[in-house]
Amino acid sequence: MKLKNMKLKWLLSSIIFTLSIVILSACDGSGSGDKTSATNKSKNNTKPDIGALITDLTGLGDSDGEDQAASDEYRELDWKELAPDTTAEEKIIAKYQPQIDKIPEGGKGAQPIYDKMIAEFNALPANPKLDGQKIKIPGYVTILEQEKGLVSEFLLVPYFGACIHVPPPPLNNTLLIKPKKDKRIHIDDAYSPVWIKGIIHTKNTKTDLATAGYLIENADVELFDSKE
Amino acid sequence: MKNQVDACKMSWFFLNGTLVKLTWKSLWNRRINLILTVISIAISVALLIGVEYLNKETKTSFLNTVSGTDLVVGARSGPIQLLLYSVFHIGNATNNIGWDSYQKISKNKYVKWTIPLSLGDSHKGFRVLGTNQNFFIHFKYGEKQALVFLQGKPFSSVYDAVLGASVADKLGYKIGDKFIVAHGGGATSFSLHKDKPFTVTGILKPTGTPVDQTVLVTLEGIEAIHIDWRSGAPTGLKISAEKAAKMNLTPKVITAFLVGMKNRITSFKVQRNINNYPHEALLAILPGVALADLWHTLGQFEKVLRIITLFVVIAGLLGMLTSIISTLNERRREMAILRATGAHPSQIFLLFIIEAFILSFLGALLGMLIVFIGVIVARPWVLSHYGFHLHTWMPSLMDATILALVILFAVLFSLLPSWIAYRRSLQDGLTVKL
Repeated sequence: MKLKNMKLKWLLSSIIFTLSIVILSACDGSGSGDKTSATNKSKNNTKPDIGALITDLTGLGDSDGEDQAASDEYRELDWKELAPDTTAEEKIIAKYQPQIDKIPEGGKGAQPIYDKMIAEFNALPANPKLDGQKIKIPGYVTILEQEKGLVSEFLLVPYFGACIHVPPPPLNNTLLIKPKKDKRIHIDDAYSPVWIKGIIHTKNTKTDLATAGYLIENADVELFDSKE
Repeated sequence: MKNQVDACKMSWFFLNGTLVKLTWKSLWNRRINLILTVISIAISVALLIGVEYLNKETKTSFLNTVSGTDLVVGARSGPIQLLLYSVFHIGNATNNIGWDSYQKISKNKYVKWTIPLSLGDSHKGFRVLGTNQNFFIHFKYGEKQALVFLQGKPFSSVYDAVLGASVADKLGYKIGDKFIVAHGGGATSFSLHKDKPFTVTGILKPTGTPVDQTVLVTLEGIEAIHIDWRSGAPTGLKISAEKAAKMNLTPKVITAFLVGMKNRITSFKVQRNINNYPHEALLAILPGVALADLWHTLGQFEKVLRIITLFVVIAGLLGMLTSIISTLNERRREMAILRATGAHPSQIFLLFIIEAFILSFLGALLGMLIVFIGVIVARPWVLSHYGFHLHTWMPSLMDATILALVILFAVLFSLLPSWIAYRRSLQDGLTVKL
């Protein structure tokens, strides 16, 4: 009788303690319930490396962006398509190459020439062929506006840490995204790469400064799931 | 046999109703024990709920502080430091920035508007911020909300001032009142700009942001009060307020400025330009990004704080458990008497469960009351010192879940003494040898 007594006591105590540990560990992850109107769950809380390219995750680096399977009316867009004219880029490089060659390695004169080059890259017009297309594109988030912790406006860039990476992405490699109200992600998830789906609008940089570049309004935002 | 079972069942139903009454009477008999245990649980529950509440309040207030601003620019320090002193008025700048750098950047073709900010003076503990009309036109908070005047209007002359809602409230100033600005940030200052008082021309509506705790004056006003000062102290030269107002009051330095772009996509480009500006060491940040970074850092602290408070609650409950177990021995006679009057051993078991339930329930209620009263008491102090308004605490779903868990744990912990008492009551029977 006494042995059974002891065993039951230990059983009860161990049940109590395992339950405590289980509930404690569950409590640690629970938020304060603020994540209303965000249908996305946080999948990835670790910061990617600075400069990590989105194409490393999607493996789209070499595709020429042809129409994907018709099941999804949004075609997958390659970042390369956003920069319209590779020949224009090459022309600019060719233009400045002799000047760069003249300056010795690490010389002071290089920076202003690079600045001029970058200014010209940036001024390359956005690809007008993309205007009005339904596309989906992956990228990293740079927060511009948030409301109550939900990101309401952001810039989509092809690599992480765009705001501190030198040089910054050119105008034609940056998208302004305004997500749908119920598709806004929480700022806790803003380090994760995302998929954007929506209709892309393009405006030529040279004609209208205020609206130049790529814009997607009412965008669908989803956290990146590398198993896709 | 059947009669015995029936008799058992009858006494079960009879006694269960009075079981709670009995538990309570037993507890009340040991009321010092009761009160102390309830208080200990109350304090730990108050801590748990209070921490959750504070986290939520500060976060909401914090996220609402700046909106519609594309860049914040200051002397080169760190992004979070710049955000804190320029927008939250917490901490200080490492250096000022030159007026000509500011002018040059303002004229950049991508820039739509700028708001200059000049910090360094205070009035009765409230920060004095020198700025211009752009502050009232372009500054937005929350969800792109603009500033609204409760009374009066923006500044028009050198010594005009506009008060944030809490400043006017706490100091009881009205339109037309005059006040003196102090040099530096302390609540009591020994360096007063006595000869150049400012006049209140406007009072803003509450925003729930640090603007409520700020006294807004003109850049020229800041220049005027320092015109006969050098290196932070008055010189022998005394220039009157009227004379100063007529002198050239273009600032030579400002502390920081906010920037709005014509096209937000160009933010990176201009940010890069400012960070590489060759004539001065400047830092330009995207406030959205810096805010998110600060949020993440605070989130880590929040997790640690939450774990600590959870342990405090467990400590409180273990205290309750200890007090129940320690009284088990002296209550053996009590149990024997109950058994003699027909209580089934399972009811003895229940007695302890109910006791734990009552203790934790009362403790939880008292804890909630402590938080409720605490918030009301602390509200004015927090408003004047930290700049945010504590909303009245109301129990939420999260709080209800916490309480349910606390009571559940209390009951789980009490299974041990209940079991011991149950076994003992079987062994002891009706004779107890104490």
